[in-house]
Amino acid sequence: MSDARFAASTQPAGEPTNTELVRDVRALLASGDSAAAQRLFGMLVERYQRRAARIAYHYLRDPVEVEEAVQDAFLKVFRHLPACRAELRFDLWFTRIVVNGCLDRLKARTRRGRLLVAANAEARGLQEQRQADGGSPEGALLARETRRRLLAAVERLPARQRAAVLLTRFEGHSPREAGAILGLNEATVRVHLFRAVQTLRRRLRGGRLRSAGRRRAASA
Amino acid sequence: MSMWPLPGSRHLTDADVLAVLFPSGAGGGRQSAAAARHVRRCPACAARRAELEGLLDDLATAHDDAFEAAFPARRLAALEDRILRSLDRAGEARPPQARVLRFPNHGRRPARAASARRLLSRNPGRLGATAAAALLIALGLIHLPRPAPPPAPTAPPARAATAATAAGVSDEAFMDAVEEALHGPRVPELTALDTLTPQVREAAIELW
Repeated sequence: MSDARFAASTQPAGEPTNTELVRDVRALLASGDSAAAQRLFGMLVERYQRRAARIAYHYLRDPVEVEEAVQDAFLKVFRHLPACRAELRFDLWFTRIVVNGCLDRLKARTRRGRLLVAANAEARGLQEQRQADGGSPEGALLARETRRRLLAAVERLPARQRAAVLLTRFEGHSPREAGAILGLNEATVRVHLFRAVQTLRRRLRGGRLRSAGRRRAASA
Repeated sequence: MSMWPLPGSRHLTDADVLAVLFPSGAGGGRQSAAAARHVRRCPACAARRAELEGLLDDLATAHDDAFEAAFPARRLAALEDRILRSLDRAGEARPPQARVLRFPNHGRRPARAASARRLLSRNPGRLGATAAAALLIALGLIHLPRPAPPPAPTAPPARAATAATAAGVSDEAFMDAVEEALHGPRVPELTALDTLTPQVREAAIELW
């Protein structure tokens, strides 16, 4: 898996680490200099908003709702930063807040039976993807169909399995870090990951994935 | 989770192939290192590893493509601005005040009383009709003949037969009262009952 996917979340050389930023923001908030704290917190927003949006998009699939979820997560983090335990790793703590926020939104969506909203979101997503795909209509259609099939298979996984795949494979966390985010131990994350992979293989068996795997093996 | 080597087989379990893809930290590291060595030697397990990796990579790529399509760079930049603005507003705003919600039962009783008053004000005749019906039933009960004294205990009568007789007498007396009321002149007190069941009188007159 490429590391480019996570490049946005690592701090550039010479810039303060997350721990230093969090410490400084907390100190500024404690001294009552909220404006300076916000400016400094903006660096954390810059580093993590892409990752937060990716995670939220994985769960919600509605760009508008994703934006709301990401904004809520950053506001929550900023408000609770003074009470945050210093030994917690910021990225794990923040990811946990994003994931929990998305799960809450999904629950609320289910409660309200927002089928219409989901349908609109899907239509909006398709429209945006159509614009982004650009190329030939057939190629775009095929790409969309493949993508839809793969993502649908992941979406049908139970919540814990889905989170395990998202955090370990899509977001590059180790099983131990994923466990810290989800409040599970590493072995449990591995079990969820294993079951998720088994289910995905079963669901996607016979498709292009298998042949793609064989091609990779042959080239290796 | 790991069962390597697979009993009765020289190949890795799926769990071990997965462990090669996600090397564990303390504890499981030695086992996943052994599995990785096996994968390097065994073409069959290497193929399974590649298949699994391909599957996960394809999923990640699909997720990336969908995300990139939905969130181009300009949208992410706009989102960042929006977050920073909301932080500004949050800094200016006072902390949210706690709200006290009234317990829902507090308002229920007055509402019910109000609805009863509203019903009566809409149908003023209904109260009179109910009172008249109660009066009619009371009259019927007063005119009932007193039940006969219990028969001498020569032979115990069947309980069902006794009940049927008593019910028959009561019904008969009651029907007499109703018949009398229907055939007699219209009593002003009962006109409310006629209003309540307008077709009974006409039906009775046709039959009788």
